[in-house]
Amino acid sequence: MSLSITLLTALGFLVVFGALQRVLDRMGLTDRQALFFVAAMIAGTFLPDIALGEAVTVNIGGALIPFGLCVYLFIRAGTAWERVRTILAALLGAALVFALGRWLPSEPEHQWFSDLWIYGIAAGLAAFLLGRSRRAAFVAGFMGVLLGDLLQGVISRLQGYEVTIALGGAGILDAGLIAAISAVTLTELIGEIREKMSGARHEGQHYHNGHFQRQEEKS
Amino acid sequence: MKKGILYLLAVLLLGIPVAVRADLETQTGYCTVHDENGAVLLRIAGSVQIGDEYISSDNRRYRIVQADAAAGHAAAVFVEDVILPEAILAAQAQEWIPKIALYCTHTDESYVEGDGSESIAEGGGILDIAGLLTQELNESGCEAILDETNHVPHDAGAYRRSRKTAVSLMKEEFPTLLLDVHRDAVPEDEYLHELDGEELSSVRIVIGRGNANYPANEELAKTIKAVADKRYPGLIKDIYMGKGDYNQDLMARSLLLEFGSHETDKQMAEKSTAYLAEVLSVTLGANTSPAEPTPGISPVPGVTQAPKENRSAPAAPSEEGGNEDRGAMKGIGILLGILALAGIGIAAFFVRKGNRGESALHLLREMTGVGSRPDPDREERK
Repeated sequence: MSLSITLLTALGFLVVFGALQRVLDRMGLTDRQALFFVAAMIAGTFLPDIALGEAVTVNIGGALIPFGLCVYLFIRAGTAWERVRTILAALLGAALVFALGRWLPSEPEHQWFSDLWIYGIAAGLAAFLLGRSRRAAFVAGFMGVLLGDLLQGVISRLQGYEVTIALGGAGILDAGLIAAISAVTLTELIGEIREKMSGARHEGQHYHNGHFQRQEEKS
Repeated sequence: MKKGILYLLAVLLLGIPVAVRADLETQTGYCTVHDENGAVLLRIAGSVQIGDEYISSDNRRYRIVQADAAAGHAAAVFVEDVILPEAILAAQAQEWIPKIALYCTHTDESYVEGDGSESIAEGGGILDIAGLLTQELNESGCEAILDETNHVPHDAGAYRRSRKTAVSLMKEEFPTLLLDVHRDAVPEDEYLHELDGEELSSVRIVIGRGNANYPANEELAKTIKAVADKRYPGLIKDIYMGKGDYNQDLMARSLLLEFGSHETDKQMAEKSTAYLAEVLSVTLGANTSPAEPTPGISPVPGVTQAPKENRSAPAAPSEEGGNEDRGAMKGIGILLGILALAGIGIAAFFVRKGNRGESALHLLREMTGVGSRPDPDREERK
């Protein structure tokens, strides 16, 4: 069972059992919407890729639907400042993904853990440092890998190499989705740790969008 | 203070890649692994990791116990003698033609002697080797497809890019076997081999031990080596089980092959493709039988194959099948583990000191929805 299928199945179970209710609430998604997107991404993976000219292909499950979800999350962002931070987090995520791809050792056996996780952690950190919200984390995680791939593809084409830029080409098995999920998980984890450390929950507060809010202020 | 700890955590996480990178600078570009007696076991490009395993040409399993990446040296201990599986060919339909999909993650890899350079970004000599292997497989009773998608640059993102190619091949071709064709980067004598009086390059099989398909892929690799050892001893020089994924989490019959090194004469690598194609064809039970031997090649002793008229009979359960099951079970185990950890984590956040009973009931209500109060925010959204 591949890493992404394991992650998505676990995600599906957690959504069904309501365990991700708080996370989804903070992302502005309902359980049904989350399950719909998961199912659509799985189904979209097996559909033929959309070719945009000779150089670019787009996978429906791995790029188009998660991109739609990113747009939805972006529109649902609470404030204009959160949108700006989300864009910055996505750009920083893309820069990190691109830089890590160039800088890390090329052979997987040289890395401490799968490179699929490294991109998620990098994008998650970008989201935490700039976005500080689960919405920003998802967008930064996914768009980071997508834009990083696009940037690398464009550079290779400009260098004269006939590469195909396959956006989300591996569908639900693509690094972008793994990065998005791990970025949200990381942000949630850091948020919860910070909440626990501050003892805010004892005061009826929770950590959201980079600062503590009372429960009734939740957006 | 607390903010400081969090930023320290972020810096530490960001520092992981730095530490990884710093740890991997080698003097030679390859690692030499020694056994307990100091004899050289193998040389492999880059570095090895503690815990990696290795099945030598003479079928002895070793485990890496020490690794000095900077010096390019590692030590391995003998673990056990490996008894290779008898190549039990699954009973197949009469016109069984295994489909093999090939691609090259490092499309730039080339042979200095033959291509003029060890790396050609536009498309290296490794694509020629993969192309030749594809042709030989097609002539050996298999249906082989090569995807020549270029994955340059040769960096850490190459496997991420080739993952798309691998998934595309799986989606469109439904292959029996997925092969990622490479060449190594060690001195040429590591791969030099003589077979039937001619020099050629031997082949190393590399398996990622960082994914759930590891047991199934190891079993397949051992079966291929069993067939090769009987037909062309030494053709499969060894099996390396390294830390990493190599996109082998995608399917259970997925292997990485190293055809010589950058110093190998390309012609030697080309010669080995015909032999390997035949070995793969026999291992996968392509439409050949011991009664119809390939000209000039002896039937495989010990390899049983159902007669053509009986090939539709149910296949005997093979060791490999058992390992695929174990791989699937491991996957389910990982899934259950994640769920259990998630459950424990959630419980830890909900259960507070002093009123654990009440909090546990609260958690139960949250999980099941039974007896829970309606969430005003969610109602409002609806």
